[in-house]
Amino acid sequence: MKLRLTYRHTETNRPILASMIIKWGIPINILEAQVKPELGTLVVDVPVDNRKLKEIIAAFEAEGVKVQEIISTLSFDMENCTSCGACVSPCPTGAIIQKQDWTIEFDDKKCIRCKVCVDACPVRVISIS
Amino acid sequence: MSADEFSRYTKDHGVSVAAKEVDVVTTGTFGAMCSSGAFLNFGHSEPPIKMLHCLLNDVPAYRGLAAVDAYIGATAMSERLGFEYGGGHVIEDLVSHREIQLRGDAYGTDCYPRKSIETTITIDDLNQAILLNPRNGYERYNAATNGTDKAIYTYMGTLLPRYGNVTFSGAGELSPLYKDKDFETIGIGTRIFLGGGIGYIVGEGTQHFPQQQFATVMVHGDLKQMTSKYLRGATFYKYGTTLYVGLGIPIPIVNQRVAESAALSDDQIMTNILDYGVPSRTRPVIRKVSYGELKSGKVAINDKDVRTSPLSSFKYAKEIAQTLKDWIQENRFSITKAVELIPNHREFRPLEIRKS
Repeated sequence: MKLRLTYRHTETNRPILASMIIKWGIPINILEAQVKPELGTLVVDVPVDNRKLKEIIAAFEAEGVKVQEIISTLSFDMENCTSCGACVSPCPTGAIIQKQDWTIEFDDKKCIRCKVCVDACPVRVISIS
Repeated sequence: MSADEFSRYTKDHGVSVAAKEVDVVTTGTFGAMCSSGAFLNFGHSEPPIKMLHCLLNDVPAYRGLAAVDAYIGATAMSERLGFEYGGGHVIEDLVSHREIQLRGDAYGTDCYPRKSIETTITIDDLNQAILLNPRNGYERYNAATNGTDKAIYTYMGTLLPRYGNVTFSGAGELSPLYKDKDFETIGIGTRIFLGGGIGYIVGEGTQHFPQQQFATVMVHGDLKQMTSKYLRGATFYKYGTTLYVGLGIPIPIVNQRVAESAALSDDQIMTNILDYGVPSRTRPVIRKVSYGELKSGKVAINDKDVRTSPLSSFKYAKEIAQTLKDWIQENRFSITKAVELIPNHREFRPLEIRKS
């Protein structure tokens, strides 16, 4: 499951994420990171089941971190997609495949939000949430 | 039959039998074709103008023609939006009957006194809107990969570093020009499927190079009866704008040789994977590959499986071949005999830079 973590500026100098990784023993993967004077945001992938995820979210919140679950990573406007395939092989994790009839299938779990496909789409039907 | 059906049918029944039973094989392709554009005639304003410059939704159209004729090319880019909007998008918007802003200026003459114009137009306001594409339908195309350490962004799409992926274009066994590769039926005046409507082959296309199976055709048709589904404005990241064109050519099976050409399957149509990381007109060949392998989703490069994906839509290519087949069966489309066939041989010259 992917989470967006928002740190207030007062919390940005504490290694909260590192502490969580050590505490829970889970390899949390950082997909995006932005640190600004007023706040910091991270998008992370937490490879656990739903029950465990709830505990981890609660632990982050207890540290003063705002947590949002990212339900859908990318959205494909299939109505306007031509099924050309320009987004498929550039995807570094193989999250986008073409089915037997060449239509596009996207696997949210494999997506690392690198946005390569967003730029690679010639008709601009992929957007990132 | 559509070309993919014919190809399979010949495998089961043999080419000779198939050639006797099948009259016409239909083909289709839907890919980015940069050498595309449209001639537009706006009609005369009051007082009239002979435009020096002409912008359509901020995209410059070629104006070295009579007073209110212009040519909007697919790769011309918006002066305001750059790579995100270009001539290809203007053509898509025209076909979609969307309103387009027209701006022009002039130096003014005694016969054309007006010096500037600003208005909106739709395709329905135009006297003529004629799609005329100097180079479409490449018989086959090189596949692309990238041997450098950096991702590159090309007209072949995004190429990941260290042979990270392979992209390719051309419809393989559905590719119109490969299905009559010796040009025994395709020529000037051949009626075709173009952009969802009916068009015609004007003649050989620019850079026509049939000896190496890089034949091309110049095509034209009335834009007013085409559809935006089969004419899509597009952007290749860090490259520029273009137009995806839907093209389908019917191949009448006039003899055994044409039947053999039309029967070629993806496994028999070969191309080269080139390293687009080398910024030269002669890029190194990494390996030879069939369209069958390319369409399988992966090919081996240096003993490693590399993911492949097309840039042209096989879904649409199949739809085009099927549509053309339906039109012929419903007597909505009749096959024409070419006035003159496409040449079988052409020199392919580079541009040498001479020291003055």
